[in-house]
Amino acid sequence: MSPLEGRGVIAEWDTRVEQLIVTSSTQQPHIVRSGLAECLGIDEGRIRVVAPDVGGGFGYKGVLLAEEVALGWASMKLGRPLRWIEDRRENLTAGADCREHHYKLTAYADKDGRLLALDAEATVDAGAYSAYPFSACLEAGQIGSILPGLYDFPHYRCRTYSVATNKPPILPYRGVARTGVCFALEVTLDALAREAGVEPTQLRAKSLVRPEQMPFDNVAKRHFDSGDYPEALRRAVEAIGLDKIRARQAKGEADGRKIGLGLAMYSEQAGHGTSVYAAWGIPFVPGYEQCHARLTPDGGLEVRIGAHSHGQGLETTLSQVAHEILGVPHDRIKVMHGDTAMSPYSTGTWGSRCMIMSGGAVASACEQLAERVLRIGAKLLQSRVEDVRIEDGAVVSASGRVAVEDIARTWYRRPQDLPGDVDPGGLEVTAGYKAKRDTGTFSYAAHATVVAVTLDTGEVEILDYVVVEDGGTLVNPMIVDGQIQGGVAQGIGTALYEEMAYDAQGQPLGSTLSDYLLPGPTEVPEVRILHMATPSPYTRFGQKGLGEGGAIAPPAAITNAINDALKGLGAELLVSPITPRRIVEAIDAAGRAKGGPA
Amino acid sequence: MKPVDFDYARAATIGEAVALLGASDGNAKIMAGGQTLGPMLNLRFVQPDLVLDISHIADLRRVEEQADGLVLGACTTHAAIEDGRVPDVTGGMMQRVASRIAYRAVRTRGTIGGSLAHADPAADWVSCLTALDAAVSVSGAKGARRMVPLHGFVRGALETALAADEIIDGVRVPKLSAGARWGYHKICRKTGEFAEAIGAVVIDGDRCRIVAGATHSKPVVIDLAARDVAKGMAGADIAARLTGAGLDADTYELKIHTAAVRRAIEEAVAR
Repeated sequence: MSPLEGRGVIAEWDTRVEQLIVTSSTQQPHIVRSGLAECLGIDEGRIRVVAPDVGGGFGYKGVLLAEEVALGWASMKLGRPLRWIEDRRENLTAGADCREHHYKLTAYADKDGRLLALDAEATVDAGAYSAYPFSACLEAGQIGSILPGLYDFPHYRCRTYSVATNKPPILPYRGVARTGVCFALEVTLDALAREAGVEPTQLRAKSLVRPEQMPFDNVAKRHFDSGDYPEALRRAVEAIGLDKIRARQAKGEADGRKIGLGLAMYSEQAGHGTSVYAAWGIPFVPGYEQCHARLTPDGGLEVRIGAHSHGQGLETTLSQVAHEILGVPHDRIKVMHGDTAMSPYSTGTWGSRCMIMSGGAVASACEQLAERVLRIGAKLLQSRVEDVRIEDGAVVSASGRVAVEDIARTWYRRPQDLPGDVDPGGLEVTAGYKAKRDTGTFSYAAHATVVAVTLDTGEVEILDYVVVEDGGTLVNPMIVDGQIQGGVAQGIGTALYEEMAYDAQGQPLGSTLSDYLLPGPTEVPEVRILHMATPSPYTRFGQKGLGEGGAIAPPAAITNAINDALKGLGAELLVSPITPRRIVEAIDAAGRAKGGPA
Repeated sequence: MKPVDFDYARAATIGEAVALLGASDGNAKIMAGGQTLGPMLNLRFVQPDLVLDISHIADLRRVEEQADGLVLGACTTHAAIEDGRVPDVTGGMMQRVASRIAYRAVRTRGTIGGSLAHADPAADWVSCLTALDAAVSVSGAKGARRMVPLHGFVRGALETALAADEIIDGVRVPKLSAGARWGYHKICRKTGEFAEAIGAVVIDGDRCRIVAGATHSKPVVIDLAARDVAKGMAGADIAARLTGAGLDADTYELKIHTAAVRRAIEEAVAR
């Protein structure tokens, strides 16, 4: 829960333009500007927020910082630029604690293992302060609606509490509530399967929403847009080799370790908008997303978005969208973001929304631009606009072609050649987008893993890790794979390493990266990724948001695998991270419960 | 967080270093590779008046091959040992141990003398060199020099037999016989991280030394007859011996120390 790069702020009052310029490592520059204007009591027009390359974000940089306000105020007061750089210790002890959920969960099933009901009480440690704009209740607000997972069952009760404590505030971190929810539900389902004596995958298969039920409104009124959940499960079971692993477990390991297989499934609601946020009661409700697109005099294309790209590769994927519509070559497309002075307003990058929302906005703006380009092109080709089309970066008719570049030159430099009814808005457009349904897309995945546990030391080795993911239409499969691999790395951190511990006096124990352990290259296996691609019926290209998914399931899948390895000993782990000490102590406790030696 | 203000001095000779230490009222810190001292300064765990840089003292990079041993200057880096740039008298044990200290970047700068002077119980050299029955060469005021066996040099966590005006100038490692066997195993939460348990075993002739390191204090040493080890030792036996030799550990810690020692013994016996 800690991006490698800490935060930093520079605030400076520019006397010439009479504007406060705040350069900050934020993933929401426009939201920060609104927050600064409210806190400092000055017009938003007097503030410019610049978010350069900020390193990792993951939600940790989706907040108005006290330091941004303090530096902004002080730099205006003192008339000089001021800088603050967060160091690692501040980052770990005073930044944010994320993901701390506590659950009491009861699952009911019939004797065949079909899920009948869930009864849940969830408590979120929200820390000492509410975070702007997402508030102290974002995680608790979501739990009730996402806890039922991918399953179809009739009875459900969930009570959630957001509790104030004397710890740092909670921030929405990659996976936002879903990581804890997935852990609670999927670990409970495995416990239920052990109790019922059925294979956990079979228990899941009986209750998953079926493809013919799509689109499906679940017990919590979530509207699943599309997908084939049983097929994802089937492929994961096949890829991980369930039967082979069971045979291997029966035989035992030569080195004395115990191996276990674990599986977890989730769906990732993404790009969810107005109706969802308004229903959660969060004071900050997102609406439409805009893009400003401009053909430059030399025929290049500038695409300006209000969202922020910090590792998601939006520079590439949004360029692909623009290219798809206008045919301008990729090397002539410049995606620009991260500066309130040169981009349309946006609530920023969060909720795996950018490929849906910014992607939709880029498409809308480029389509409007295309209409104007076609009109000018038709005139230059002496054709009717109905008879021309855009192809390979040119307007073509039956008899000829004129490059988009030449159309740009005509607009800017030879307006005498333009048609009389040309749109005076020219070759720049700001256009907006909202999905046909703003209840969000639901990408989903099945994660399956095999681990080996050393019983006397509690060491865990991940032997295999498979992800079957359905992100709808994939704009760029390489970027999707990168998101999944990186997400799984973070999920492994949550599962096995990362913990914000405090001693009895409230002293934080993880103040350096040798106390707060993050997984490194030797701890993260190469994930085997299999794709499904069921388009969403509600988005521009059928794409679904999936930036967070990789980080959602690993704690549940790995915990289930460890519990599977330990099931013969009667030991069960129900908390993350699963440290070697916790494994050894669970085995000892199970041994004592059986009356054997510790 | 940044360090407190401190003076910096770079010594050219061991004598100069010792003299500067003597004149410093006891609040000086010696910097060799700086791989531990750097973070400690930045976190203000240490707040010295003087940082004394010994990394340019040629004598501290000396290599002396003796008939029955090897002396390495205190500023010999882990990487130099890992890469085989200095001779080896331990049948490859020091090279293997060096190659798994923290990360390569740390090994490039970190030194064997610095590691021993800092005496972090989790440091590899503390356990490895105790098992090898090495000795620390210490220089004091007016050219005084003494040899201190490693078993006894480290007195506790971050605590050594060094006086305030002494520095480690080198380490003497006895030469293992041709038939000697060794094993070394450390248990860490992740690769390169501080060890939570270390087992180091050296069997030479009829003698065997077993060391349990990364304890809360100094390493625990068990000297045995080689024949008692060769036949293998059960986990319960190891645990009982470690406790008997003074290992302070809770149930989990005792298990991982036992496992580390057992794996080191298995490695040594299998050689």
